Amino acid sequence: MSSNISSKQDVMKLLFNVTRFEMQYPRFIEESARQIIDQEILQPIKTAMRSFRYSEKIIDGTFIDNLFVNDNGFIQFDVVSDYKSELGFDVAKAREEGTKRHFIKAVGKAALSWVTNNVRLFSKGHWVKGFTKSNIIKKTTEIRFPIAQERITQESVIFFNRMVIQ
Amino acid sequence: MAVVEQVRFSIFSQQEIQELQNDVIEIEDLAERKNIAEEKIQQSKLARRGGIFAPNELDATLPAAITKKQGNALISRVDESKLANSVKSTDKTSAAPFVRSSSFRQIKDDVDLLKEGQKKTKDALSFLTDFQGTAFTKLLGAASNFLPVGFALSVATTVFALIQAQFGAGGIFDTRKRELDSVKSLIGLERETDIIGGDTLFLGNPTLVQGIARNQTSNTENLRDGQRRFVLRSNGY
Repeated sequence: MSSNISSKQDVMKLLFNVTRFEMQYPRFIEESARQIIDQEILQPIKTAMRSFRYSEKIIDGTFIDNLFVNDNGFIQFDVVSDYKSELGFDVAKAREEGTKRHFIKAVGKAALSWVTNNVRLFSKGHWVKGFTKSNIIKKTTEIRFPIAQERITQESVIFFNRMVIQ
Repeated sequence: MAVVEQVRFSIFSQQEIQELQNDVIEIEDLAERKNIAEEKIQQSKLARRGGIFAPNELDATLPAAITKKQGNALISRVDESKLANSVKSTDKTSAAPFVRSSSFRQIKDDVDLLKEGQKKTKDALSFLTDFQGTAFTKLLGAASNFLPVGFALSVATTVFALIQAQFGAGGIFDTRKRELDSVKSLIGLERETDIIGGDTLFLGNPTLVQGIARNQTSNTENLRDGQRRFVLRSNGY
């Protein structure tokens, strides 16, 4: 950087470029990071969910939220997976974090009924096995984090070179 | 409660950019000092010149001792003080604080002003974009307190309403009417494509025929056929 500076005009230009970089960097990195996070974090999570035969409703309910750029040198966001059944049971959380063996109680008359030897039998409820926790979001985020960080750093350096060094 | 995984990536911090700016300020100082030093060296060289290598005839006529004194006097006191100040700026133990008029700080001040201006503009825009809501009503109410402004606004609103009405059905700016006129002038895309492609011969003289020449018994027959052909072609056959 300093090898190109030979006159006061060069220094003035450099000052201008650094100031311009300071002004434009937050907006650039927010846009750039949004794309990278989508490609490197969100899409792999959704792919993993499909391979684990997650419901499409859970996959559609998985998104990036609360993305913001902080002056202290970090960009923060939440990977959210939100899908509840009609009765309010958090299915997304159950698949991610697993559930213990629990009792399912019949709510409607037609619920929990089955036909055996042409006779419809009803149940007031029964115990079901819990879900095994998959931790897809947590594991995939941990695995993909270094790749995404590397790309963000690379993008930052390219932007810096383009704006300041030229 | 949904599953929420919080993630943080490292990027350039404000502090890092600030450090970079400080480095550039340092480079600016060095460049300024270099310029001052170069000027001083140049002036010293000029001052030492005499005899046949003097820059002008007046110097050549003067003795070397006088030209040297003259040269020393030529060195500007302003440059001397600049150099002293730039050196002093790095001297941490100096009692008198030296306020450096940095070009960078000037730029920074300009940027701060710009940012402030942008913020004000943004606020004003967010206020005005809600012009169909309460904000614009309040603005109109406030403006109408000043009679000339209120009058101008009411005239402008009336004129705007009049012009807006002309875009409606039957108005001079009614786009549907224009579209109908243009549709009338079209001969159809298929027909036009045939003419451009050469599949259909379209000539000003209808007596001219397309294809192999036939045995013509009379010129009137040819004309009759030509007219028929013209009518058919006009109808798109």
